Amino acid sequence: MKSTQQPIVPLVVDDSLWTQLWHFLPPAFLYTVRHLTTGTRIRFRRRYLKWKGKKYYI
Amino acid sequence: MKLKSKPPAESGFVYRSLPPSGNKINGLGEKSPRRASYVFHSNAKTGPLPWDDMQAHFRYTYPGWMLPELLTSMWLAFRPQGKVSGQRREVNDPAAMAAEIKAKARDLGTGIVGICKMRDEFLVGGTSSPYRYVIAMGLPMDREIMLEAPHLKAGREVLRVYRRCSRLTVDLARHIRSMGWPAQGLPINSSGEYLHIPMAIAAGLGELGKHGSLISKEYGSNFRLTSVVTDLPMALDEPIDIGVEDLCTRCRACTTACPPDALSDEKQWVRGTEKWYVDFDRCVPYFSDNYGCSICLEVCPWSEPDRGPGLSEKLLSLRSKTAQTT
Repeated sequence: MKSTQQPIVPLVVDDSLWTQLWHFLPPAFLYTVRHLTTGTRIRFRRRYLKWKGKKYYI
Repeated sequence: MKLKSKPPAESGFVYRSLPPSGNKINGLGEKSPRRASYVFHSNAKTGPLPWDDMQAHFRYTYPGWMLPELLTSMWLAFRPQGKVSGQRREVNDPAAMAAEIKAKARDLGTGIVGICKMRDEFLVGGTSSPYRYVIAMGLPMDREIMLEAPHLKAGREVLRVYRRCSRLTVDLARHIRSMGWPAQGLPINSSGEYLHIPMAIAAGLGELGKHGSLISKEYGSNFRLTSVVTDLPMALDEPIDIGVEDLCTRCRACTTACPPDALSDEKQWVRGTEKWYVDFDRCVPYFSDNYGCSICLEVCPWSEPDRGPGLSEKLLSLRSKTAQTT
C-alpha cells in the first residue's frame, strides 16, 4: 500500500456529521476492500510460504 | 515479566531491494542538531516513504475480523478539528484552567496528563504548528494481555488502547473548542507531524528509557500516548526526574530480551543529542512481522504494576546518598 492509497484525512473545520461521513466513507470502503482482498491474499501467501519453509518477498 | 525463551529474530519475509537505512534517516551518529524526518507510517501528508512496503506488510498482519477496530480508529482520525464556539471563555487563572482541563481529561479516561508549551522540535522538519500549548496524555494498557507479547492478543490490545486514545483526544479538543479556544486532537493516523514522546517528556509524563519509549512512574512503559494541541492558556508542567537514567544504565532487561538485538547498552548521538536509541533497521522488520512486538515495554521493571513509585523513591535516595559520600 503506497501512501497515495492511504486515506486522506482532511483538516476540515466543518465538523457536522454529514460532512465527516462524506469524507470518511469512500476511503473506509476502499480500505475495507483492500484489507479483505489484498490483505487476505498476503496473509495466506505468507502462511503457505512459511509452511513450505520459504520467505515472503516484499 | 520474564520471557520463557527468547523468540527467534528471523522474520518471515525478505526485501527484494533493501530500502535506505532508517537509522540514517533518523540521524544516527549526527552530532549537529536538526529536526526529525518522516521514516515510517506514511500518509497522504507525508507522501511516499522508503519503508512503505514494510508498513503495508505490518497493516496486513492483522486479520480481517479486526477491521471494525481499524475502521473505528480511522473514523476518529477524520474528526481532529471542528468549529470553535463564538463565545470565548476568558482565562484569568491559568493554573485553575490547567487543573480543570486535567480533571476533564481524567473524566474522559486518561491515566496521566501534563501540559507544556509547543516547540519546533516537537514537529517533523518542514512542518509547523499554529498552536501554542500541548496537553500530553497517557492511557494504560491491560498488563495481563500485554504479557502475551508478541502475540495477536497484545497487538489487538494496543489497537484498542490507540482507539481509546483517539476518542479521548477528539473529545477533549471538542470540549476546548466549545470554550471558544482553537484546539486540535491528534488521533492515530492523522497526527504524523507531531512527535508524541518529546511532547510527553516536556509535559512531565515521564523519562525516555533505554528501549526508546517513555517510562512513567505510574505505568512504567505499559501505556500509550496521545495529545491535544491548543491555544487555551494554561499553567505549564516541568519535565520530571524519577530516576530512569540511574536504572537504565545498569539494567539490561530490555536489551537482552529484544529478539533482533535492536537495543544498545550505550547512548548514541542522534541529531545532535546523546540519547538511548533503538536500531530502526533491526527493530521495525521484527515489529512489523509480530503484531507490533512490545516485548521491551513489558520486560521493563518499571512496567510491573505499582512498582514505579517505590522504585523511583529508592533510586533517588540512592543517588542523593552517593552524592553525599563523594
